[in-house]
Amino acid sequence: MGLAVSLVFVMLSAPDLALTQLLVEMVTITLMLLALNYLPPHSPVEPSRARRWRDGAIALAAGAGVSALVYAMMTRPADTIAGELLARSLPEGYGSNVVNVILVDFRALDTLGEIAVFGIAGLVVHALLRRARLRPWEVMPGRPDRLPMPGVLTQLLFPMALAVSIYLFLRGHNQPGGGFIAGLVLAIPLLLQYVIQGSQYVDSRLGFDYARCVGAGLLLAGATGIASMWLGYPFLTSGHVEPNLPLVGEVPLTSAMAFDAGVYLVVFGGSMLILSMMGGIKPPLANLRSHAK
Amino acid sequence: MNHLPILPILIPLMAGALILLVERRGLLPQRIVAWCSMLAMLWVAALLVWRADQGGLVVYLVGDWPARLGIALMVDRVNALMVMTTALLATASLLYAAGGWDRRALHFHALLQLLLAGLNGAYLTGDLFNLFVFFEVLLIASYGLMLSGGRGLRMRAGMHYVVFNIMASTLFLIALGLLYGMTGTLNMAEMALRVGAAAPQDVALIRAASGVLLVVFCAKAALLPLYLWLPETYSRAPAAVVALFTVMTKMGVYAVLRVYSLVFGQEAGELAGWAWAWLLPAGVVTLVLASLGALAGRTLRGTVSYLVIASAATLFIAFGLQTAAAVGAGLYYLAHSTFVTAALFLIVDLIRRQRGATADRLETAAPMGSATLLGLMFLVAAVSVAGLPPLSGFIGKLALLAAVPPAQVALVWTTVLVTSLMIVIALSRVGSQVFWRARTYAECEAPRPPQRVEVAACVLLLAVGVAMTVAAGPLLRYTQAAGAQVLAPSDYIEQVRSTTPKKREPSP
Amino acid sequence: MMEFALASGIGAMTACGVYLLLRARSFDVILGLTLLSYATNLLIFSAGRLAVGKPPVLQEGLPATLANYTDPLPQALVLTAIVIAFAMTAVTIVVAMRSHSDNGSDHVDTREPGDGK
Repeated sequence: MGLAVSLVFVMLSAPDLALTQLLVEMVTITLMLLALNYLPPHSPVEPSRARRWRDGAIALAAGAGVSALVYAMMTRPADTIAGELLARSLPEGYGSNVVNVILVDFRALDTLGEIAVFGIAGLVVHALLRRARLRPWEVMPGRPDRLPMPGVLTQLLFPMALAVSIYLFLRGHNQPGGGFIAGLVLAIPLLLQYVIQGSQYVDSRLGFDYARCVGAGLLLAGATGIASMWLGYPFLTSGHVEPNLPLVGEVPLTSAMAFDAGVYLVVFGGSMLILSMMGGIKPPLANLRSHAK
Repeated sequence: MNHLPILPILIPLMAGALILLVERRGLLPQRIVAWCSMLAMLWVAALLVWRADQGGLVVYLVGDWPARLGIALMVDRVNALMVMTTALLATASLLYAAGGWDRRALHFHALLQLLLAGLNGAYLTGDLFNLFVFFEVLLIASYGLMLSGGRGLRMRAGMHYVVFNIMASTLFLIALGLLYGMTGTLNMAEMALRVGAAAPQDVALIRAASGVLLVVFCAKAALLPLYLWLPETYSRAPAAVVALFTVMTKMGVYAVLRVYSLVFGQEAGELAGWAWAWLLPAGVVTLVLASLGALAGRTLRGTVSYLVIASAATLFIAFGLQTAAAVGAGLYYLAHSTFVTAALFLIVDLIRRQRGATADRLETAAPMGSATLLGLMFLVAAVSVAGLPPLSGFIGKLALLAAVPPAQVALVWTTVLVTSLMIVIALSRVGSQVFWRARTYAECEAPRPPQRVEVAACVLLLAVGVAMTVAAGPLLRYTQAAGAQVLAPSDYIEQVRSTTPKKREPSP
Repeated sequence: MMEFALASGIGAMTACGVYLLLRARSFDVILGLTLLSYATNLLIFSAGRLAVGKPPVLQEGLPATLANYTDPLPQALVLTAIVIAFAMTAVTIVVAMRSHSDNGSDHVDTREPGDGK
């Protein structure tokens, strides 16, 4: 379903959206699969037919209503502020990817709130699952398999994923990309490592405290905004420098990039908090004892 | 460059992030950061109120973009009052949690700071999508606060709360999409202008979109028929947290006031003030039902939850009358009811702990420890919330009744007076059941007396209520001015559009 | 024509989402919420009016007006909405897992319809 939505986005001129939808879709499916492990496979008692008809009627009414509203809206001409946004994006925002410029410059406060939501989600999942003991629906007998080949492959892939992630991050201001996409692109191979090698293996080697990652990212994003306050401009006013580095030449740098780096950190930390927690759920004590026998 | 408007959002946000970094070092560093942030917020809130009272609107352009392109913050008397109320409430909540809950609930301090950032952001923003984003921040932080350290039935109530709010957020997005599609902007002042100038064939669609938005806000504010989620959720949330939840209900009412007096207010041409005609009767019916719910309550926390619904309904009545005096009375009542219901939740939690197995069911139980102290606090809170003289509830209700225009006197006076009577009966029933009708049972273990910080938190809230009584004169003058300000959206529109950025080009 | 297709698509997704939401099983509720969020994102996106092949990435030489590029603002809004919806989905899933484990039932009210009171 999400793939279809992605394709719609690509067709209708929204590359950033397509990328984001795809990545989020991947992570959501992973989450749902992990969750299904803990929810029962059979439905509870089926509700009566009368109730199902009623539900269907409500659903159809809602769908028809929304359809009508959307169609009515789409067929009217629009007079939006978009023209002005497009015109001012390159000269004042220093970026040609207008969607990204909107996210980290024009409406940076929205993005700050958005990453706060993402980080908080990670914290909530962490708080709920840290000491929880949940019984999986089906426990495979025996010890977990070791998968040496995929394990080595993912370890080799990881530095490449890191490079792709940084590339997407750096080019975000001018081409499709940006902090959020880059953060997810880094989290997903790491998730693969968790799945294939097991969380203890990965945790002992990488040893990140993801909650601190979230905190650091929020502070970085906020600090970027506060820096402009020091200089006498309102919060989150973006700035632009073009230092002349000796061998490389002129390097255009925007403060929005530092903000995007904060976004990157929070997205990475938040998704790892959510995903690693899901992987590390402990079975109830009763199960452990029966296995030990 | 005066950065005052952004500070109530920035301080808790940065404090929350900092707490995440120092969490590893134990509880004390977290508490220190939390308290520093709290004191800073109290100070900033006071400054904000003082600045707002000098008249006029303070507009802050985030990112230095003109208001229609970027996000603008607006400070007037109404949201300065809300920021102050929240800051005081959060102080009490922090005090109460210091009694031990913050040790038990993981990430409590970080979540609390982020909740405050979300609340303040939602109050101060002048942009509709930004309102949505901050709503989500405060909602997800509230999920965390409610569920962290909990289990069992609290999880089930949590699930209902989460699903309900996600449905409301989906509706919010639908309304936003439609409104942007029809008006082409997200800034509230700009939208007000465009709604007023909308072509006749567009009016129906805009009205539909604003109707959806109204449903969303009323769901959050627990207005009929969308209030059933509240008693269940509030009865099961941890005490320190539910005190903050009382202000989240008022957040829904504030959103209605802001959006429907600015965007769909006097300047909206054909759509001017259409929402208020619905909200007044809905408020009346909700008030009656909530008072009946309080009368019929079987648990302490359930009763107080219905009182919260009743206070929100009273606010809808007050704002629905659409005169400066009524809105002013409503704002005074908003602050008063927030403090006193929060105090009641905290007191009820203390009582609950003293009663052992009976907990907060309204049945006969063994005599309580610390009965005098708790009884006294309960008495003060009950008098205040029921609207009996001489406390702030009485002043609030009196101001409201005095402000009712002659056309609605019969309806509003009857409703308010009868429901006040019902609440008095409900509370005296609760009080006598809990404090007087106690029989000695067989010896059992004496419960832990309430801690000093917990009592301090209750006393703080009650003291603020008393202060509101003593300072009623200046406060009512402030809120009356706030009411007059809110009912004149043309000033907002003009002020927001004429604020020019510091270094960038203004918008044509 | 494209508008009609998209509008009906959005309506169909909304209908499926609402139907699933009214089922009682936790997992169905989560799926329903996800479908509804897709429908809503497409709705916001369509507020920018549909255009094929005009991504809002400024190219050299093309004047930066709405004739050459599609409306970027709804895209930014949808991006924010996707992120927030994902965060909410993750929390809902975990709460459902905990609730099921603590209360022993997958029914959203933790009481099967066949049970007594």
